[in-house]
Amino acid sequence: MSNNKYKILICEDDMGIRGAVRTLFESGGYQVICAETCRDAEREFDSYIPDVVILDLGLPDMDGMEFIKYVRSRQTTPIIVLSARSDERDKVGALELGANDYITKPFGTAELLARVRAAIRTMNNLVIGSGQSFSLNGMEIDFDRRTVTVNENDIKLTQNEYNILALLARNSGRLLTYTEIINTIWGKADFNAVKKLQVNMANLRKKLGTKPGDHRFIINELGVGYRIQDPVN
Amino acid sequence: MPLVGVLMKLFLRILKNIAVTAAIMTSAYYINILIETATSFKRVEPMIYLLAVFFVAVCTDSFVYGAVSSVAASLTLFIIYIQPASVIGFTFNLVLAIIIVFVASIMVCALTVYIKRDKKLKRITANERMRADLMRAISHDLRTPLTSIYVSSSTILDSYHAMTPEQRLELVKDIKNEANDLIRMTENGLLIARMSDDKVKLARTAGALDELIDATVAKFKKHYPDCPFDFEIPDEPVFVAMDAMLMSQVLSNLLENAVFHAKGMTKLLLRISATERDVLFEVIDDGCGLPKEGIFPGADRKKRRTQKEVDDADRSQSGRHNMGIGLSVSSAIVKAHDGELKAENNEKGGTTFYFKLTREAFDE
Repeated sequence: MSNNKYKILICEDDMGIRGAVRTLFESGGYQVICAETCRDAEREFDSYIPDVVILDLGLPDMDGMEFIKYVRSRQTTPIIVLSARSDERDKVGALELGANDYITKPFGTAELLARVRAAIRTMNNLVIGSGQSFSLNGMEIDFDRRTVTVNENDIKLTQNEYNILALLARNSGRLLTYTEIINTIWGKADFNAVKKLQVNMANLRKKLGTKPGDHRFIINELGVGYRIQDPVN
Repeated sequence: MPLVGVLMKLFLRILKNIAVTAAIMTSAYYINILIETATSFKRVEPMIYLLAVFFVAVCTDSFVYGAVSSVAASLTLFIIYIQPASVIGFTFNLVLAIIIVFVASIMVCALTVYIKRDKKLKRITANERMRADLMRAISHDLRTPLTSIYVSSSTILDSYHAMTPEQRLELVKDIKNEANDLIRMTENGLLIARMSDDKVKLARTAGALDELIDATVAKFKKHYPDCPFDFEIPDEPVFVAMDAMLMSQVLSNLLENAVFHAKGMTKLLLRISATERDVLFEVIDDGCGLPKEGIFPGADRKKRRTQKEVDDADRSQSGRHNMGIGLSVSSAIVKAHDGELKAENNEKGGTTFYFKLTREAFDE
């Protein structure tokens, strides 16, 4: 029996959550390494060089942010951050320091599994859509021809709207912050940039036929950014 | 440098107090002259000065100004009465008058200062009491779901083999639901703590209404897919200066309240309408309507609720949760956005919760 498994490093001080997540991933065929403090996490990271890191922002000894910087200074390992629901600024801070994604506690196990799989796929550059097309729930994007159809109907998008959609699709499963999207599409952020982005997203949603609350294609993380779901394999 | 700023503020305050004191005392002086020359009233000066010192005590921030004015008034009286008189018209009464003015004015001054301090203390203790009330209400709310979780998990442990897999699954589902409720309550509790800092500075950035509704509706539909819910929002892009996460919490609270407390509800509507200047948010249900008594326990300072009143109100509410906490938090958040959360029973039955926020312009 081969022991060729993906390695996940979990940094979480709560024993209950740690145990539950360990069970979840071990039964999913991953090797799980646990750390309770940032100091332990750094040590384990150096010895195992995991494929994915799951980090609780509220670790006791050191700010979780410091650990993100530690990892980023050495590797491009995907980091998924766990945070309490109300820490909006922490989330954005973590993402801008280099974390790839975040999940708010309490989280569903299916959600966490999906995010980890997406993170691994990103790392392997197996992002669906880095090729010529992207397909999700009836929406098809052809990157070569810059066309979008929903249930076979052509959708007319402006240049900005298409660029935003394509950016999200190429990074499917990953959360992109307002700043990331604005910098990619418009090059720089002025004080009106977020409003402009939100107007574009509203128009995009309307054109794609999704009413507010319908997260079939684009998922809106209030106050932080947007993501497109990872198409299930 | 903040120290310079603080010193400047202090200096300006002292200046203001001196100006007020000088203004009052000078007015008193001239009023006395006026009375002396224009009327036949005699020896009114002591009373006028006593009044003046009283006003100084009321209008200034510290005991010092009143005391100084008192000394100044007494000295002035001394100069008016005693000094020039020396032999003629010198009476013991005058000396007494001056002493009385001095003592009385110092006492009035002290009393005024004490009253002011006492009022401030009362306000602080009122806040403390409100916080204690909220803590009591929250802890009270926590007991029920915690008991349920304890009982469910104990049952599974004790009678594991005697139960069918379906029964065990049922109990585990219950545990999950109750835990979810606890999380919501805790989030609300944390929000209350944030809100009750006296000078809460909300980070208000212009947010698109569309985004707010999209996120809130998605979350609501995920948790309550069977609820007959609909919404109406303006077609055009609308922006409001707000803390989007908090506003989302407010809307979620109002919607959840309807789900749990509007008995017999067949339709729940979130309606948002915008004029050029403001945006009106309404949560409308057609359920059983509100009871007559006040429903904002935390926000109602005049009617301080005792533990018995809280318990009684709780018992009269069917449904899992005390509506009060969610409403208190929502009310506080709306207030911090310069709005006011109100509720009314509808003509055709049911309730509407509503508030208005200022609209932000957006130039493309």
